Amino acid sequence: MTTARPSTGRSSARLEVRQPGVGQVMAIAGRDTRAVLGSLFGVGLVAGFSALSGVLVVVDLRGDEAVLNDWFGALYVAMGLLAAVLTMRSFADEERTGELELLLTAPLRTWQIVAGKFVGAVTVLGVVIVCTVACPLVVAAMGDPDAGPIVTGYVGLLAVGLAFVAAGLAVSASTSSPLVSTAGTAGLLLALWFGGLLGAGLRGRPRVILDDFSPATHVTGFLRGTLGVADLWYFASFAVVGLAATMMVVRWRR
Amino acid sequence: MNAGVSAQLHIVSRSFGTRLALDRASFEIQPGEVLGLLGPNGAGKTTTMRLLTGYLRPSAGRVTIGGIDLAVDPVGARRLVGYLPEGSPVPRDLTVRRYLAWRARLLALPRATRRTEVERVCDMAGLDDVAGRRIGQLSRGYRQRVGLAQALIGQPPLLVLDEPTVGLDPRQVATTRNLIARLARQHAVLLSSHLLTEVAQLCRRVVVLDGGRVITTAPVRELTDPTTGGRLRLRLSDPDLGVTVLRGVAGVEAVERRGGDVIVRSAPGGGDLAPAVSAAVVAAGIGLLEMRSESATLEDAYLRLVSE
Repeated sequence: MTTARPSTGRSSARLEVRQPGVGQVMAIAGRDTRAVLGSLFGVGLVAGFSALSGVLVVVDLRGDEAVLNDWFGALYVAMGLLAAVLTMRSFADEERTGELELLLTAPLRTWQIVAGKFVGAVTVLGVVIVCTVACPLVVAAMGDPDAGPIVTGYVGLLAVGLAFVAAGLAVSASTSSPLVSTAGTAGLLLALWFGGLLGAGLRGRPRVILDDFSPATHVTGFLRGTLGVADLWYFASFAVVGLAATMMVVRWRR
Repeated sequence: MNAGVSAQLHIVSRSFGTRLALDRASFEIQPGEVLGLLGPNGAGKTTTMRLLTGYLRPSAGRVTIGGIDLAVDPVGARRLVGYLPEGSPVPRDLTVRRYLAWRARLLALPRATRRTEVERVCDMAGLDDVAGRRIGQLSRGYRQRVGLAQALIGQPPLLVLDEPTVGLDPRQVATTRNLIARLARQHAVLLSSHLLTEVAQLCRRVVVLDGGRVITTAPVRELTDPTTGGRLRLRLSDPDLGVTVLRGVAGVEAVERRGGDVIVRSAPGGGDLAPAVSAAVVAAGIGLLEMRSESATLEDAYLRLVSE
């Protein structure tokens, strides 16, 4: 759909523009993805995470069993750190360089900016996850692992990644310091994760609350090879709350 | 010809915590004019520009661009504004052409228009020769031009330019000024600069801010009118005695030594001081070697306004 530029009273030289839509979301996402993957930072991030997954699989296989539960469990925690480093660039680092000012003053709706940043970060996350597939393939070549928990483990990895990126964007949008953004996101996610584990030592309502709010509780199904609706719902809600918080912060700033 | 749109700040305030950065500011940028925004550091110039471009939201008051309230239709209002922030923060990892094409895509220009629009702004900003190079490899002057070029994409009727010539060499300054002068034929322009000669050269009117308040909005010609405060340059046989004597002459606002000369500045409305000054000098027995009348510059007016 196209529309004319709003009337300027005296304007005769008009350029046709489209209504803002998904095209701008993809433009922001594409730019962010290329900026990360085309940089030394991005290459290092992908290589580092792949190397970590390789080391973890070696550690996991010392038990002589072709089971990747502990491997996935460790990757879920590492995903929190990855999301923290990745989303730091989305808003906080761009504010530091001044580029965010040009983006926020463009004729874009807030949802387009947030969705573009989300899709961009998740695309990089997808590349990182794909790079870890080599590990289960090696395990499959050496033994006979059960495919079910591996498939659900990857579904879990994606669900955890989407939720953590959404939370990271909210923190990144709240600060102009990349360091604060990274530390804040990592701290928040680790607190939520280990809060559930600490809750195991409590009784009554505090235990239930810490347990229910912790992502650690909701990944156990994925590790066992089951896809629970409640777990998927939890991570979907986590992502929606994170994106809504990012929208609120960006809208408040604009 | 497109001569821009009007933009207004209606009693706009903006605070950061307890600090009031802009205090009930009101002024209008008229279609087809270059309006200068002056003020010392911390006066609220950048805050004003960020409010006009929608980067910041006013704590109180209303900002309208081409009759569109920024708070009501932010996308519609932002579409009318091209913005060059201070320091031209453009990404260094892209080529000039790719970056401008990306900006054109963000502005929702149809695919068929984008390429011609990128070529047009490259041509206007003098970037044809470097369009295929990475922005990070360009000199500061060229990066400034890239910032200006992205502000021109989509032919926005209002341009907001924050210190567009800062950090440029004299030749680049002259080129950029010429470009802004050409742009003024097609756009309304709000120009912030510390270079008062630049403002005097490019702007018809100025808004002077100090401490977050608009202290005056006036045509440049009015501020530099001799009747609102001209000055005399004298060469005297005894400049030190001359300074003391001239400080007592009625209508004199300030007397200062500048090199071997004595500068006498008249108060606004003080009229022609030459007869009284020459009479006082002769009466004091000082040799009057030379006396020249100089019209007040924008710098004089600005310094007077911000020191009041």
